[in-house]
Parts: sequence; C-alpha cells; structure tokens
Amino acid sequence: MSAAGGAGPAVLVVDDEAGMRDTLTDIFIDAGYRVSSAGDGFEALDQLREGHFDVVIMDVRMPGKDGVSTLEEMGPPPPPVIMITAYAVDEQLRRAVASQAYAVVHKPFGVPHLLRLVETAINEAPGDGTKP
Amino acid sequence: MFRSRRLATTPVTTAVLAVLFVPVLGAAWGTHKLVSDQEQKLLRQRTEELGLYVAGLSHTVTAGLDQLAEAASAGPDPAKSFAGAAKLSPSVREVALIHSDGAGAFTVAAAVGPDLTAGEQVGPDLATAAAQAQKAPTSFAISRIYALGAHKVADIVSAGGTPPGYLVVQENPVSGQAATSANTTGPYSELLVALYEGRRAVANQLTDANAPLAAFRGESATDVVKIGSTDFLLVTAARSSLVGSVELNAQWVVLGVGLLLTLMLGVLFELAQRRRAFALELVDQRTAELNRSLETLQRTQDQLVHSERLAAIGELASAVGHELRNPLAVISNALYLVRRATSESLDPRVVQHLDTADREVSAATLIVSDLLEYSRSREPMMSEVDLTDLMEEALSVAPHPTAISVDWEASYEPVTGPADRDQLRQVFLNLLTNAYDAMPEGGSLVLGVNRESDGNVRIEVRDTGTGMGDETRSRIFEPFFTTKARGVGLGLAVTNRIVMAHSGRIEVETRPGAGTTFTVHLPGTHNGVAPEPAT
Repeated sequence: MSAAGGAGPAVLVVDDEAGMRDTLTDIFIDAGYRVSSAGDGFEALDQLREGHFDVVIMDVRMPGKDGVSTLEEMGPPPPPVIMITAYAVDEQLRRAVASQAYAVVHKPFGVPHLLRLVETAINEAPGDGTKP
Repeated sequence: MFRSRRLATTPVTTAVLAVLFVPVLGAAWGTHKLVSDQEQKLLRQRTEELGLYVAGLSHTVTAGLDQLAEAASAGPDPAKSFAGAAKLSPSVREVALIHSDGAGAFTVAAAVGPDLTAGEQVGPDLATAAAQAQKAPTSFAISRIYALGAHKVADIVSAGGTPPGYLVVQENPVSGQAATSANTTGPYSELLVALYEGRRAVANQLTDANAPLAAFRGESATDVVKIGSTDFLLVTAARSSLVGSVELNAQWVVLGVGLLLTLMLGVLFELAQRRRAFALELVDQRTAELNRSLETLQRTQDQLVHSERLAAIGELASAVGHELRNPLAVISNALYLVRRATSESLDPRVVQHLDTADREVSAATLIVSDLLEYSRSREPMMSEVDLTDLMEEALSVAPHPTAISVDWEASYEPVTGPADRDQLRQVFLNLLTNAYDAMPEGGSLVLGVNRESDGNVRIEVRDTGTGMGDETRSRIFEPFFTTKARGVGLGLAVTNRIVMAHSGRIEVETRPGAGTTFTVHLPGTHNGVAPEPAT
C-alpha cells in the first residue's frame, strides 16, 4: 500500500479491515505523520524490509499471517509495535506481550490516547525520531 | 428409618391364628366326646357286671335257702331237720321255717337268728308275703323277695322244696335310703350304686345305695336285675373316671398341644410376615434412594444442558461482541476525523451531534464489553498499570457530556498498581457512565485516584446526581438489575466481579437527591510483588 502524509515520523498501519486502515491512516496523516498501510502480515513484513518505520500499529487478528506471528518475524531491531485488538485477552495477546510489543490497545480506543501512546513510543525508541 | 417393632400381630397372622384355632377346638371336643363315650361304655359294662354279680349273690343266698328247704323236707320233723341243717350252715342268718295254719296266719316252726323265735306268731307283713308266696303256681322251688315294711325284705322259699304248709323265710334288713357316706372299699367300689325295687327309679322304692344320692353326678347307667322273682333297678355312676385320669385329661392335652402348635405357627407366620414387611420396606427405601439419585442425576443433567446452553450463548455473545468492537472502533475513528475536519466550522449543532454520536458509540462499546466480561469471565492478567492514566483513557473513550464538569482529586505522583488493564478500564468506564446517567440535567463529577497510607489504592467517582434509595442500593450489583431506560443491567455486576477478582472491594455511599460516591479499594504493589488474583 502506498505511503502518504508529511515529513513526520513514519507510521505503518497494519489491519485487514479497510475501514480501520483508512481511518487510522487519515488520523495519523492529520497528526503530521508519514503513513504507510498494509492489509496483512506478509505485506507488513515486505514493507518493513523495504523501508524504515518509527512505529507500527498492528491488528492482532488478521487472515493469512496474524499480528503476533508478524511481530515475531520482524528482524532486529524492530520498531516499537502497538498492537490493537478487539479481543480482551487471548493466547495470541499473551504471545504478543511476551514478544515485547510496546503496548496493547483495545478496540474501540480513544484516538487522543492512541496518539499520545504513539508519540511516547517514538520518543522512547532508540534512534532519533522526529516529532511531528 | 424403619418403624419400631410392635407387639400387635398383623391382620393376616390374626386370621391364620383364628383358622388354626377352630380345628384345635374341634380336636379337643372330639377327644372329649371319645373319652366320654368310652366312659359311658365302661360304666354300662361295669353296671351289667354288677347286675350279674348282685344276681349271683342273690342266687347263692336263694340256693342256701333251697338246701334248707330240702333239708326240712327230708326228715319226719321238718322243724328239727331245718334247725339241724341251719346249724351246719354258719353263713345263714335270720332264717326261719314257718308253718301255715291254713287260715292265713303263720307260726315260726324253727328259727336261726335273734329276730324270729320258734313258736311265735309271724308278723302281719311277713304273713301277707308268705301267703302270696304260697299261692305261687309253681311246681318247683322258688325264691321270692318280699318287702317287709320300709327296712326289711323277706326271701321266701316255698313250693316243691318244703313240706306242705311250710315255708323257709329269711329276713334281710335294708336301709331303704342312701348311705350317708360312700363306701369306698370292696368290689365295685369305684361305682356309686343305688338299688330300686321295680324297674323305675322312684324315691320310695329305693332299697339301698352306697353313697348319698347327691353324689350321683355326670354319666349314669342302669340295669335291671332279677333277684328271685323280683325286678330291681340298678342305677350307677362312676365315683371317679373309669377310663383313667390321663384319658380324662386327653382333651385338655389335645387343646393345650393344639394351642401351643397354633401359637408357634402364628409366631412363625408373624416372623415371616415381618421379615417380608421388612424386606418390602427395605426395597421401598432403596427404591426411594434410587429415585432420589435418578432425580439428582436428572437435575445435574438438566443443569449440564443448561450450562452448555449458557456456554453456547456465551460463545455467541462473545463472538458477536468481538465482531462489534471492530465497526465500533472504525465509527469512533471516523467521528474523530469528522470532528477534526469540521472543527473550523464551529457549527454548534454539528458539534452537538458529534458529541451525541461519540456518547452512543461509548455506550454501545460498554454494553458489548460488559456482555463479553459477563459471558466469559476470566482471570485478570496482572501488570503494573498507571491508574490515573487509565482513568484518563476511560474519560477519553467515554467523554463527559458538556453539562457535566469534571474535577480531579488526584495526587501529583503517578499512582500505579497491579491490575488487568482492560478489565479495570471496564470498571472505570462503568463508573463514569453511571455517573453521567445519574446527572441527566448536568452536575459535577469528581474523580480521585490516590494511594493510601498503607500502600493500597483508592479510586473515587463522586457525582452530584439523583442518588439511590436503600432498595436500589441493595440490588445494584445484581446481574440484569437496572433502573435505566436502556442497558442490560450488567455494568455494576461486572464491575463488582472484576474488583473482587483483583482482591479489592467496592463501597457505595448514596442518598436520594444527594448524589453517589463509588469507592474502589485495590491492593497496591507490596515489595514489587503483585497480589494473587482472587478466584
């Protein structure tokens, strides 16, 4: 999927739901981020190999390759990954926590909260993220 | 338990006893009859023997008199010959040879014994009897007994044996009444005997008796005895049982043994009955236990089916709830974008509509979350959570209506504690939306997240809303209890359950019209170790 947005930190949005993908993309563009999106884990891994991302927002449950498997396959050092899920706690989520996801956010979430979280993640990450 | 044993017999046993009692009585009666018949038969036999004995005795006496008569005829002087013969017969007493004068008077020719004296005139009674004897048309010696008044009889021998005009007379005294006491020795002493002259037992004809007549009881027998030419009636009764005391008591023995056997059979039957009743009672008891077990099994099965059905419904609710969260999140995001895009228009109606849409999405989210939490309760997944931050997040997910002001009473230091972030956010969301709903006309909401002196965490949500009465207050944590026009009534039930699963507690302070304060107490982190979740 194409990248869009300004010159701020790069955000990769991974979700199989087009509605979620599109709204999140617009939200982050609106917040000044450079946004790329992917519809599943394979596509996300491709994009991660090809480019640099400061933070990844990724759904847990996706067809094909789910979020947790994708997280586990990200080469070191992975960018901070914020997992979003509609499910309270399940085995996949436990694995996500064990795989050092930066945070888990439950759907539906407050957008300001997510934006704060992303900002904090970029600031705390090693390397020099540019604030939007 | 079995009822206590009782002494009363069962009706069946009573019937059996009654049925057995009848033949026993019959046997006893039959024995009595048999013994009685035997007694009667023996009495008759003995009476006949006695008759023969009496006749024999009489014949001996008569034969003696005949010999005296023949002796009197043998010599030229009958008196002398008679006296000589009589002296040779020492057994002969009160014997006399009397001579008729032809005119109806008699004179004693010779006599042995003190009552008659030779030469004297015979008394009128004997004279009459002698006259009758003389007229007897017999050609051979005949002995006949004549009554001489009340106490004496005459045995008179005449005819061929005596010289013409002579008669041999023996006078025998008789009592003419019954003895005053029974004679219990000698032959036939086992019999009570009364002898009547004639063939009928007439009182004034009683010749002799060996016992008072009052002693004649029970079975009796009679026999007619001919003494000389006179009939006598012999009446007898047994002094004691002729068949013997054993036979006499046979009926009682039969009755006793029969009753004993009946009683034993009754006892055996009763025992069998009771054993049967006991067995039946045992069977009933076991059957009842089996039925109870079956009922329990059925109930358990029903509960299992019910649980499975609930579980299936829970699965469905869970699946639907999860699937609803995605579109709700998208709507929420879209609303955010719309708000951002229209923020510069500042049309208050659009802002109001967006607020309404936000609140409704929050309400729908909360309902779904409560339903998920209730249908699939789970152990909290503990991690160290910034509770102030979590409250802010909840406030951003469920923004307060514009008519409600929100104030914080929170410490400046971040307050953290061990918690399941998702579950605790659910608690905060429920408390916030409850507070909003309690203030439909607006009001003031105070949020407090503080650490107490003991290290535990106290979270307060205080509103100035309608408050609650005691009745409502006592039921708010029940599932499906609600006073709201909408909602399923799971919010506070889920809230309470989550807080308890965190080993915490929740307090409510409320009064109608004076608002409500919910206070959640949660254990803090002690020495860096999170407490075990309550199960």
